[in-house]
Amino acid sequence: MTHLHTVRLSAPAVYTATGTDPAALWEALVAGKDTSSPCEHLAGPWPPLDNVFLVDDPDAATLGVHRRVLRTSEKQARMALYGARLALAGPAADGPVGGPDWGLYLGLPTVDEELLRLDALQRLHKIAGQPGEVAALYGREVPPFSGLSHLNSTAAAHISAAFGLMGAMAAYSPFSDAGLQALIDGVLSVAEGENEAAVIGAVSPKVHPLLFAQYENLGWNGAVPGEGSAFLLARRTRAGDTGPGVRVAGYGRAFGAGEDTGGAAGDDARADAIAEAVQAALEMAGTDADGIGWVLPDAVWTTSAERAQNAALDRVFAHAARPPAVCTSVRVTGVLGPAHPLAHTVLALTGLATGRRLVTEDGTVREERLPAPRALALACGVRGQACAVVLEGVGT
Amino acid sequence: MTRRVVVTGLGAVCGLGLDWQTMWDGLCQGRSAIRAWQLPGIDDFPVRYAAPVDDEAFAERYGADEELNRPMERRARFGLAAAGQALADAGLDTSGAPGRIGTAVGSGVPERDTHELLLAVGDDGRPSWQTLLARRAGLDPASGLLCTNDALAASIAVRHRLRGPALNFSTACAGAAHAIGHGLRMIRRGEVDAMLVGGADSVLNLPTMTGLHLLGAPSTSELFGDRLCRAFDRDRSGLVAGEGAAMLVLESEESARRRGARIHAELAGFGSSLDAHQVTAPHPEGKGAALAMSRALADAGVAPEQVDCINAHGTSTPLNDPIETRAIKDVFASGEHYRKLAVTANKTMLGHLIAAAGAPELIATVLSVRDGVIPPTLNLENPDPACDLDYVPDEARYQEVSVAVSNSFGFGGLNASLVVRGYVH
Repeated sequence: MTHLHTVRLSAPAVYTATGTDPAALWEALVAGKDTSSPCEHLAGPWPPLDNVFLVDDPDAATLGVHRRVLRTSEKQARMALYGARLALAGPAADGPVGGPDWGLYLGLPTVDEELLRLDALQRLHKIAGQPGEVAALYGREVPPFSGLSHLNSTAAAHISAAFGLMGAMAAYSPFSDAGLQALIDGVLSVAEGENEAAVIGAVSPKVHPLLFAQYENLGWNGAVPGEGSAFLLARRTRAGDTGPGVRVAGYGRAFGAGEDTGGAAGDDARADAIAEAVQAALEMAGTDADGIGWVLPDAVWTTSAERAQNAALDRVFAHAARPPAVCTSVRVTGVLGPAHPLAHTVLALTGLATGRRLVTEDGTVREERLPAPRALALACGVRGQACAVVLEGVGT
Repeated sequence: MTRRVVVTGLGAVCGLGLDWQTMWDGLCQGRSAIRAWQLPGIDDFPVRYAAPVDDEAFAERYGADEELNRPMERRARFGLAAAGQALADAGLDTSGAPGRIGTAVGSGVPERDTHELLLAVGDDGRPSWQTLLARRAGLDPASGLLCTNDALAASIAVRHRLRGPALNFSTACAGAAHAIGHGLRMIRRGEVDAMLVGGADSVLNLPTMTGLHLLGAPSTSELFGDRLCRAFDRDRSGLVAGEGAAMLVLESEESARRRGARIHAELAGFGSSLDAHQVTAPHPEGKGAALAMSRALADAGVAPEQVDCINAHGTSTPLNDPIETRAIKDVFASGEHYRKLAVTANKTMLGHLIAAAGAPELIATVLSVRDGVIPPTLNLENPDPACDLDYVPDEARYQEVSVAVSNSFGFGGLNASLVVRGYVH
């Protein structure tokens, strides 16, 4: 990467069905833990899934904020705020956090939340032909701060306010590519001198009936959704940073889709875009397929993206002397949307720091020595977006 | 050496017109798109003014375009139209180097429609997943239930065969400005040669307007009729919502010159910031806004004294306008340069295009630099004592503009500023 400053990734944090410790995420995968839970507590007679991967909705005390923050946020924003708090706990213990040189880069899903409570739909059903009555119902039933809580970027405002972040920022949405866009641009903001440090994170959508309506429309392959967030810190390398660390060595982003953007995109065009993004990331990192020890593919949830990602990885690594291990966290976290590639980045940080990787074999996950100090994280947006990042251990 | 980035294409769909030339003429003539407005079938909604796109004119102009007439959200339809205009204006052939051209769009919340939810309500009046699934085949793909924020960027990329990165930014009212700023950065780094950037939004629907109204954001006053949007005026009482889209083609100078493109202006700098204050109000001292402007100027390598004009966020809300004024005074304090600045608020004519707002306002900024015309701030009849800059009231001003800044400040203190400079090879 062309830049002014070298950047290290640190302070990895996850909040998923496996808990709040990145080590617990790793261990849950190796142990084959069942971290899913029944979704019977979802309101009403909603979707046809037995188990999903849920997290508790953090309360004000857990978040360390005033209760009024809860009025202008919903679960998605609160999961993000909690993830940021977990990530910044360590840096805050070492010195001041925040200020004009600390930025924020986020991957955010659309907020899937009904404006009217589902039980108000019965009333709506009765008055549907009377617009004036419908407007009056909205006036009575819509929560007063929904204009903020339904706006996904409000998560950025809450995190900024909680930690005093005033640096350069951006927020991307709504699918998994948003998480890696945040990582790429967050790191670049530090590398190019715009920020001294950038808090980088992403959050999943909350498991909600409206999520399933979107999934169905976009070609859902049945992958089970999960809730959670993943955060880390990109920071300018300082004089005392002599120990092991991880950096973004290269990235690539591209787009490829067929003519029909409403549903499944053209698989070939998508595979081309993913392969192109991976090749660009490898080239920028000054390596090739043999230099990658571990691939963390996207937790794709459409049939088309799944086919395209598999085809692209086959193509890139077909001639590698030593094909890298491929492993995702999906079996213990569910599909985390924008947070997924960042949860994978957190896993990669753990692996690169300790020289280990995770390998999926015969339906189980085991750990083994990492043969090359580089991992590849992928994100494939539902409509054809493709992002790839090469993470590299330094000082290991 | 850093690559310079120039603006070679413009496109706009808004209440003032269906192309950027009509929009620019309207802005220069002080013509407002704000008019009496009501949600369909409702005659007592408290918000009574808006700046909608003329649907009949749009249908007349784009009726033959099959792709634009497929089911999609209003914002996507406007965005696709503006994107096509911008590429045509740039004369950019997108078939040649598809991976070297990307797109970045700022978007807000999906256009939810109450009646979609009724699909989930069975004949017995009870909501059920099975009912929704059974009726999903008939669900309009334009519905907010199914639409996602990245749909426009993806549709633009597919329609114009752009294979560079496709990004969607969600930073509230600064979304388009962030998309444009990041497009600038991607070209500078050499990641792409050109980017189609901008924003599209339409909040003129019951669910979104109800949410905004409950926040107290839009004005409900009827005192001033269609002169309701009164940025920096003592009697301002809230934003007036608009809808539409605007897109720009950004291109490396090298690429633009190689193909002999007409260059409207140079996009010289971008800066962003967070307020770190409250979700419901901007920083009272305008610190976040000032940081965004300062960073954009530094990014452009421009000293504050070189700036002639600011295209303000200027929402006509009680909080924004004096705080933005204060931020401008902070940034341009040296030699009291703020006294020499011409500050204009396009929202007094366009309405507030929310996530898209930064895009038509950047087009106006580009054209101010290119043409030497600063559109007026309309309806500034009784200046607020806390708003004491030169806001170009009433009529456009003809003056040379070498460097101009465009501001966009989003809900919750998500800020972005862009710097435009006249293009000199």
